[in-house]
Amino acid sequence: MVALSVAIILGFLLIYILIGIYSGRVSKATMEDYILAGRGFGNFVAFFAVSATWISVVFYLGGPGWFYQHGYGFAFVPAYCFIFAMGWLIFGKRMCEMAHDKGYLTQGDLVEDYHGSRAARYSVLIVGLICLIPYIQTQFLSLGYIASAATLGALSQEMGAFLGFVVVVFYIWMGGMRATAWTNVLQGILMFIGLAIIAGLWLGYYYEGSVAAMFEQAATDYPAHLTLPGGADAISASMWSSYIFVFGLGAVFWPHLVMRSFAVKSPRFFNKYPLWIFGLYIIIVPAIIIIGLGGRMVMEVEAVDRILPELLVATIPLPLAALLLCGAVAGSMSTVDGQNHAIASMLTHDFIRKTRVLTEERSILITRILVVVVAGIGLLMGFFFPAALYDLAALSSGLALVIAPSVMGALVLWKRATAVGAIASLWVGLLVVVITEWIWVYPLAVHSGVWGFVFTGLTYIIISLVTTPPEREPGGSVIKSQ
Amino acid sequence: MSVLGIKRIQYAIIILIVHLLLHPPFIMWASRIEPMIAGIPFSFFYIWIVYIVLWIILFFICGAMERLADKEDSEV
Repeated sequence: MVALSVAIILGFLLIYILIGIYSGRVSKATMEDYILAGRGFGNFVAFFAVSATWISVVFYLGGPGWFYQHGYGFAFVPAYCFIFAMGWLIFGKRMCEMAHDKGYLTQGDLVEDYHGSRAARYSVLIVGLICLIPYIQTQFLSLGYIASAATLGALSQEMGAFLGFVVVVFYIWMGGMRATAWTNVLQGILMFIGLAIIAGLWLGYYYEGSVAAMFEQAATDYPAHLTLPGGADAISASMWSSYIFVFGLGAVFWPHLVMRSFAVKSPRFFNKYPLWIFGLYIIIVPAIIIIGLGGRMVMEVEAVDRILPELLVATIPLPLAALLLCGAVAGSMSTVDGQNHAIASMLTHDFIRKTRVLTEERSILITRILVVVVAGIGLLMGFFFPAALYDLAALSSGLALVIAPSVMGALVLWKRATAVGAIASLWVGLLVVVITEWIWVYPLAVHSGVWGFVFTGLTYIIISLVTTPPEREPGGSVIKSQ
Repeated sequence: MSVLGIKRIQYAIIILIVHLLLHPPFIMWASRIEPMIAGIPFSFFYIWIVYIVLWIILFFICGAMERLADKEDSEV
């Protein structure tokens, strides 16, 4: 049984490697192709490239874990999905249109072009790196844990994390953005179908398929989980609304998701996407609630993020559990690949290529080497600084909100926007997030990301209004002085 | 305004109002164990009723965006 489980996990990893090899064969040796897959994502690939990247292991493991711990406090999730869907329709579409018109490869291109400042690009790069690197640390470790749980320890957590690292690095090295998107299709299908099947199986096993029977037991045993503010460590009302804002709007401005918006072939994709992603959530959120609440009633776990794998391993045959847990492995990989690829691409394009002249081939090679370095740092950080999934995801989204105002200014073609305003807003926002995350923790029970966004936005507007705006071309780009 | 389109702003206001029904005061009102409908808490249904209403609004918004895109394409 254990050998079969190991084979299933390794089999899926092999498929990702094969996808990487194939995508490498059809790729062209240009940075645009490596970073944005030649801007050729059709609707089907784009949907999974965005959704599977956004919905990571944080959702797959952290979601049931959150409901297990907090009960109905988890109900903020549908609301933030809605904010993301609308944000993607309004801002994602505009980002795609501008990137197509002006040839942007990264968020830094957009901010520099509109504000006319290389320093603004570097500031976006620094905030982007701080936003993404901590998030990576949780992903490999979670991957290792899932592989270990699905094989009853035959694969150790360290070995699982290392295998994930090797596979992710391999397929990004080979195919860049194209490989991450194509693997995201398989990963997304595994994740979304897997969650629904797990919920169904579990209900069948414990409650003969009856949702009502499960809730009736919950009403007797854990009534606090069915009312607000919820179970243990209840979430406050202001934190609830903070999470909606931070997770929903912050994700729209995550550097790796912005790059995916640049890679979409037709802006018309964004007209349809909200409908699809929201429809998907209608199916998978109840599944998460069923798994989390059901798990609460049948077992105690040390780390709440582990309720799903422990429940599976305890209730169904191991190989089937391993197959379903491949969805969780996929959740981990589908996010960490996009983040890794984005960080390496930003470092090459926004910094190295701005300081020296490089050929396209050389630029791709440097990006590939950076993929290995960044993934290695993420892997090591995961071992030395483990953290709760949802907390780190919220911090990462909050930091993305610091980038949001200067990007929004460019998207709405705000004529008064200035480089000084953009740069000042980014550094003020970063400082405010640091203070409200670690020093004066969550003032008024409002998340640091919200405080960061408020101060970033105000700084951007005020400083821009009191400084002289640059001369612009009709399309909004700053006219460069000779 | 001309960039984002006035229609989208109008839609945003409508969906924002419905979206507010997913914030704490309303969930708190809905998240009582009693009454339970056929053994399932009312709050469970409540969230998905709001959810489906939002989805229906999205359906019309996405349709409107497509018609707008068709119009822009034909003008080009």
